[in-house]
Amino acid sequence: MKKQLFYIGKFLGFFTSVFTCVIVASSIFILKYSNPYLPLGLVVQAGIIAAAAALLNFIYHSERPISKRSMTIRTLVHFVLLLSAVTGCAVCFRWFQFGNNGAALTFFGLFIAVYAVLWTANFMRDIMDEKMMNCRLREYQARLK
Amino acid sequence: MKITIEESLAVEEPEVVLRCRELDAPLRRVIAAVRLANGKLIGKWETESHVIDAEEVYYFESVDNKVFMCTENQVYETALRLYEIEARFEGTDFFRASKSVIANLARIAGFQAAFNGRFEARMQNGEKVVISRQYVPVLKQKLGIKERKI
Repeated sequence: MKKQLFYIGKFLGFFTSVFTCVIVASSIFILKYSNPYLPLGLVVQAGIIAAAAALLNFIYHSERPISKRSMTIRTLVHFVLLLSAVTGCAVCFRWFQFGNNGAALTFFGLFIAVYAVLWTANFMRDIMDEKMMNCRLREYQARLK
Repeated sequence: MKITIEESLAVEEPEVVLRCRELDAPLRRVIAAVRLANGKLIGKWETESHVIDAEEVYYFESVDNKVFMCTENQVYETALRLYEIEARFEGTDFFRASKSVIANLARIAGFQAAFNGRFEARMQNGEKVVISRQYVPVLKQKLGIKERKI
């Protein structure tokens, strides 16, 4: 039960952050290329994309420690699968057609921007955690002496 | 905190008695330190058995249903299971780093961020131990760092 709750918590945490990013990015896209208002259906569509992204995030999950090489491969696989899933959804939702180069480029640009923002945010958080953990480790070990 | 030491030849085995109104965090640390200082482990190396101080262990690792304990430059096999080690050294410097590793915080030289919320612990003997994302919150709590919600 604890394990299931852990997975659900992870899913919901990631769902929320992706949902917010998708809403912001797709709002920019729709305002530029569609009607000057946001359709209610966008919320459902963003929800579907966020759910797909949250599920794909389990690519990083492993019961055993993952090596740096494996993590790099997982990141690449994650990027490709997520890009495919999001592009598929966008085409289904008729956000753009491949004939419209400007729309396609904006779409891929926004996707890469959102991915880069999330990746950088995670990376920066890890770096901050690393600094904090090393600082606390020194304090902890000083107390032991 | 009042400390009383009674030395007597009549005492066969040292005994630590804590008298308190409530078992608070500093007292728990005292218990953990006593437990760790008194922690002896039997480790097998080739055909010989050795008695090892728990404080000397850098980390315990489970490989193919066998549990090994790594000291500065030696690896011993132990009959204990990881969950038994975890229970025995609860509240001490030992913490679960991953499903297969229990590491000694006192023997870590530093942490390094890996990808996606994972960390690597560089041990004082140069070895590296991966800390799974799942166990990072436990480590942070041990170091007194409050976990962020998202």
